[in-house]
Amino acid sequence: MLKYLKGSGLHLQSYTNADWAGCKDTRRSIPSHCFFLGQSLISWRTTKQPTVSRSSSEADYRAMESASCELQWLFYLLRDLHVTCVQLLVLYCDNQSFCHIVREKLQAGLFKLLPVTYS
Amino acid sequence: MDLPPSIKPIGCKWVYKVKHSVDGSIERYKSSLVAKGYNQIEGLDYFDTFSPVAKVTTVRLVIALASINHWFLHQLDVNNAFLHGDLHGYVYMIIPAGVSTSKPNQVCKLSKSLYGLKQTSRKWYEKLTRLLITNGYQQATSDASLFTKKTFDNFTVLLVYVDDIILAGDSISEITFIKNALYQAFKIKDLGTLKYFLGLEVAHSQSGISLCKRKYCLDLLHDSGLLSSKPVSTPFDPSFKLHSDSSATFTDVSAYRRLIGRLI
Repeated sequence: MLKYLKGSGLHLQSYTNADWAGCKDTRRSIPSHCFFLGQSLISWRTTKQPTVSRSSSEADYRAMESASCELQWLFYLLRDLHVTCVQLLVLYCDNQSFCHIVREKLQAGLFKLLPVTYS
Repeated sequence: MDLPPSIKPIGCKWVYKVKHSVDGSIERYKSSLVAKGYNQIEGLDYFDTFSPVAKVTTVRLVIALASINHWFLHQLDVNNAFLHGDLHGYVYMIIPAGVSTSKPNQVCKLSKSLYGLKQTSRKWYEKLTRLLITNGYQQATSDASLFTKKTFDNFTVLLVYVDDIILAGDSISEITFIKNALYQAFKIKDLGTLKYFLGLEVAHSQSGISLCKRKYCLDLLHDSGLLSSKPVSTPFDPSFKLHSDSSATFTDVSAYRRLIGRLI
């Protein structure tokens, strides 16, 4: 049961997570994401990754990468629907080590962020 | 007309159906003429056959926006949608059984789509798109089945899933206008406020809109014969170990695949 409440705001929030080596047979990770518009859940997905990730940071990074593709499409879709108040796309992910890597690499100017496909 | 030389006409046949009403009694007998499209050759008899359908995410997004912005949300159904498509190529079909001709070696040249032809769904989609664009609608680039119309003071969204149409917008006059335009062209059925779409039950209330798949789940349980089974919680206990044994393999593979397909 999904409830779409009246008058809730128009911000787009997205959450990602990955179950590192979640598949017992192939040891591939299982990422998932879900998107909320205001308080309404509009899209969700979980699929097994096509390749093996060697750390949970990598698994989460790949999850964020695939979620950002979907997020980009949702952004275009909202633009086609003339929803203009969605300005900032926020992607939440619970992974401290990955955050540290990003911060360090950003400071060193080495990190090409999500626009570049990882694989 | 006479059969042009070096043309192989498409076969056709009559299909008879008995339509039952909700209580199981016979409502009406339906017969339809279908073309044997499986004999058509790509590149010769037909070209593109693809036609887009709305993504479920788009459907949910439109419903969510309708709820947030207090839009009207209506649903339309097109009667015999596929018969409306225009055929611009030359499609020849043999004379249907029961129709007598004075001369031998006669064929029908089709000007409208028939069920069974390869290009039918695409021709319907093309015709609907053309009508909507002439009425001032703009096709979205992110989802080809989404059409929007923005004017100075109102905004209307139209979402197409083959012959089911969702209309959402803040102006009831624009919704009525496009309904009339569609009725003139295709004899649509106005189903009023959106209630049931693609297995989604849509309930409207004071606080918003809720979606649920109760009927879809009940149908699924009924078809798989599990209606009287006990429910278990999901997800399954992760510590549970599955193992293979030497019992006989599952016999009805297609039933299993159908069930998985409906669950995904």
